[in-house]
Amino acid sequence: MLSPIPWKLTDDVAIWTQNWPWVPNPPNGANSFKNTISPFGGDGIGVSVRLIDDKRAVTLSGVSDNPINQGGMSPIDLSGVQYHYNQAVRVQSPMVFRNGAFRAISWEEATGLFISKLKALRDQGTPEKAALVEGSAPGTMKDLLGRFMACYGSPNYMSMPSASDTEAQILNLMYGASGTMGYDLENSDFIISFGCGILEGWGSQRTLLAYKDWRQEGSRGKTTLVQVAANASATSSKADEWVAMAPGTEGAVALGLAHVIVKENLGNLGALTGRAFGLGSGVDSEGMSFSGFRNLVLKEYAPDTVAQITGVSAEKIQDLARRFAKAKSPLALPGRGKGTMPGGLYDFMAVHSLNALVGAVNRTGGVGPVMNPPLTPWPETALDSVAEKGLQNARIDGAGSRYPFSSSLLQRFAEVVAGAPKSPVEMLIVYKSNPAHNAPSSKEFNRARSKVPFVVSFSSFWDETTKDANLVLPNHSFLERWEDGTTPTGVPFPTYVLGGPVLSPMFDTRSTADVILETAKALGGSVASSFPWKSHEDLLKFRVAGIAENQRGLVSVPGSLAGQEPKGFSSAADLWSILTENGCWYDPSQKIGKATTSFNAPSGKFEFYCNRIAGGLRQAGLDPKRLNVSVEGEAVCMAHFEPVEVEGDPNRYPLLMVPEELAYVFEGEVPSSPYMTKIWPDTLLKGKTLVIQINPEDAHRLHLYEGDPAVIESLKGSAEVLVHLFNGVRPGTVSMAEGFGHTGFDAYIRDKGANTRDMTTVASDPLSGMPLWWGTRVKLTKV
Amino acid sequence: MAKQQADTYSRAGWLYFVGGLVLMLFVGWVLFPKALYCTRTQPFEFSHATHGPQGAAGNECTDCHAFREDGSYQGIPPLSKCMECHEELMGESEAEREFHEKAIEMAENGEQVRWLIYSKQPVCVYFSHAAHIKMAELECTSCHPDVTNQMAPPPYVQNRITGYSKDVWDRMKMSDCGDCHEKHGANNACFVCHK
Repeated sequence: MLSPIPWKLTDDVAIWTQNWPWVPNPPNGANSFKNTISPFGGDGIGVSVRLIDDKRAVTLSGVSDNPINQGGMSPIDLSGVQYHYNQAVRVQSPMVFRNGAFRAISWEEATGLFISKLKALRDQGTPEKAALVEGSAPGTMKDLLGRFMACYGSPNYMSMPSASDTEAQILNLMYGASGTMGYDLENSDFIISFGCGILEGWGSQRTLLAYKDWRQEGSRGKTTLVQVAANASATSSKADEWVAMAPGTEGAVALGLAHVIVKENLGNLGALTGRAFGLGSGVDSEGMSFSGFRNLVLKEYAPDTVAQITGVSAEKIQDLARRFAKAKSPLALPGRGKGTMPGGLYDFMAVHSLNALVGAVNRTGGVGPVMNPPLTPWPETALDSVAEKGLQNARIDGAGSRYPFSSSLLQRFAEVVAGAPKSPVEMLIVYKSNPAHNAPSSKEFNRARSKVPFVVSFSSFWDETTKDANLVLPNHSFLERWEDGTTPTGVPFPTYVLGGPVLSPMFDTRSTADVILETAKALGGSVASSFPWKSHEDLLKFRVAGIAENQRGLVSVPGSLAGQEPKGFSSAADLWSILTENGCWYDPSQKIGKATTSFNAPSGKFEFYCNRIAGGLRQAGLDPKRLNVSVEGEAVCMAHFEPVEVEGDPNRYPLLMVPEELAYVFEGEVPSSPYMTKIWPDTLLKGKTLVIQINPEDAHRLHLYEGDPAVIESLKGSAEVLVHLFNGVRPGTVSMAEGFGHTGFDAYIRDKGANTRDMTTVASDPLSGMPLWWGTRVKLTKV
Repeated sequence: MAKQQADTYSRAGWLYFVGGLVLMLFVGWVLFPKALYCTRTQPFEFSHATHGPQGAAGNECTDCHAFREDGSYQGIPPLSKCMECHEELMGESEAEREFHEKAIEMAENGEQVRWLIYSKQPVCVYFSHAAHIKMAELECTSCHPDVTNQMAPPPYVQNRITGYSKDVWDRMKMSDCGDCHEKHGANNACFVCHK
């Protein structure tokens, strides 16, 4: 005891346990930082990767001079490195499903198989039997795949549904513009958000920066945020005011506000003065006369009528409309949640009409079309007779024909293929998406998939779709490949981000773009000649040259947002090297309110009454009733409220399940990361069971107490859940978080909770046909 | 009779006790340290005196022990630093010749010299030189012994159980860092050093 032996030995043994050789210790080394594009939900933002010894990625952080996110990152992007290094989840080489199991094969064999299958369809004269589903953010890959399918000869090129689908249609119909829809959030002083998840991830990272701005009273004073939504979300709780309305009635609220503004003459067209069509009476491009939007709104959407539809009191509507119109730069935001769900076309039209009435269109602090970055235009495609014949077929999903205004309807595709006696598709290619889990009705998609003989996945991960595929051609991870991104939805000026590989490939993977380019060349003829680029990098250099030629815009450099002048650029090579180092090109001179936009709609003006609807319907020879439109006459071409029929007998299924989107749960190409699973509260996931939120009134009726197990059942499926009583859930509805119920990936996410999309009934949006799943009839039974 | 026996017993017992005590103290304080520590030599006989400001090379300490551009501290410099001068033989010492022979090969293979680090801390410890030298403006010798005038590296006395050098015991254990932080009012929370 009096000697040092016991004390020293105890201490030393403790320290010895720190140095056991079998405890993994990453080797130390020198730090370096490289910029690249964000991995998943980022939509065209840049990330900075911290590397050790230039060969091991440690963390990701935002690039603080990127004008989109200014260094902010979403939880899924911050976790990107976890996905890169997760050996259990990454596809490590090309795989083919043969004799009951996946077998690793060489790239030669894999691309050979891919090419031969594609060739076979062409040789038999039916290239339209190949279909492709992708889920990338807007950028070169999206365009490249579309171009490939067109040159190949298949019209069946689909994207995962999102709110940008609706915005694209609004841009076409009301604004007569191309590009993206931008919202100048930080300069507005009164925002009415129709369900948009401002704090859940709606829009780009910029939304959160704007929110921060609103809360700090600048020279503009404080910005008022009003959230119009069915259930209490984080955004509803943090908004200055939460207007609770019946699910699916956002459009009616907007029209009620429009009514008050028109009736009390509170509107001011602003930049649209003299440039608006269809507000008063007139004649459309088909020669039909109409009395106009003002008349429609006055007649049909008096506050009392709207109160009946929405559950929002007439006084509230009047008061809100007056405050909104009197603000200096009011702005209304259409959408729902994070924007993964398409919005109803007429609902969005209502909100955009509301914006137009208060002069928010093309005004600082308002809304307007944002031109695409001036990348080099794609060269003309060559189409041989096989391709032309293939493209003449109507799309299986009916977009462009049966549904003249939509461009992609994955849900309809699944329904048609699932319902056909023989599948019209022989090959399905999947890129950067996981429809087996995320399709609006995953059950429908999987039924369709089971009828397709050959499914190819380009995914880097063993997601549900890839586990069920026939051939896997794994893409490099985001740290190993080239990627670019054009303006994300909502950003009020054009942007372009470019990122290059930061590490050499860890596994036997290949860049999908390179595979597509090789495939095009192997198919020969007109397909090959339409893809003259040698590699993805080559292609991107070609595209970026267009921006350099245009000589407009700036590139962010370190410190550029802290007051130091952002850089211009001289040649294409100069621009290329700046972009690959720092990442972001942007053009603030084209910001909403600064840019002069022309409206290329048939009237040459902003259209409250959409000539293209009238024209499109006539050209397709379609009766709007066939497209579930409940009104007739001029209202078909203007914003109005369409009650959406939610499938199911309300007596058997008395509750309405509203899917909930959360900031810390991700649903997309990949699921929530292991890091994200650590921040989930017990009111979301308890053990492995999903917790749903119900109103105490409903709980009382069903004899359910806090934390009780229950079974939630819809027409499509059921799930075992626990209940959490929450007053913020509208009585009669049930709030169920999306993003759970995975059967792929690894133990961090697999078998946790239940998949809402397995249970959803999908309604078809009137006129556009887009999938709407904001409500599913369910019943809840105590276990 | 019993008393006599008791006397003898207690005297012998007392002797045994003291003898045993002295023996154990000897084992504990002399033999145990000898057994616990072993002395190892550095791979090369590096002389700070020769390389330092008063020596033949006339380098400043910070020429080799410097901060990198990003603010992290280099610590012991990489082989490339040595090769900046020692591509060719600079002097006539035996030690340098020995070094030079091996160094050329190591540089080609991309290897580093396996210096034994006196101040090595466990992986769980985060230490920032920038915070202590640039912000707190401490001298190097506040924590490290002054080796400027030493012709050979100090002996590396290694604890056989933990693998760390004995020099850490007196100056750089957690309690030493904590004491200094407390004295100077620096933050002593866990997460300051254990991230």
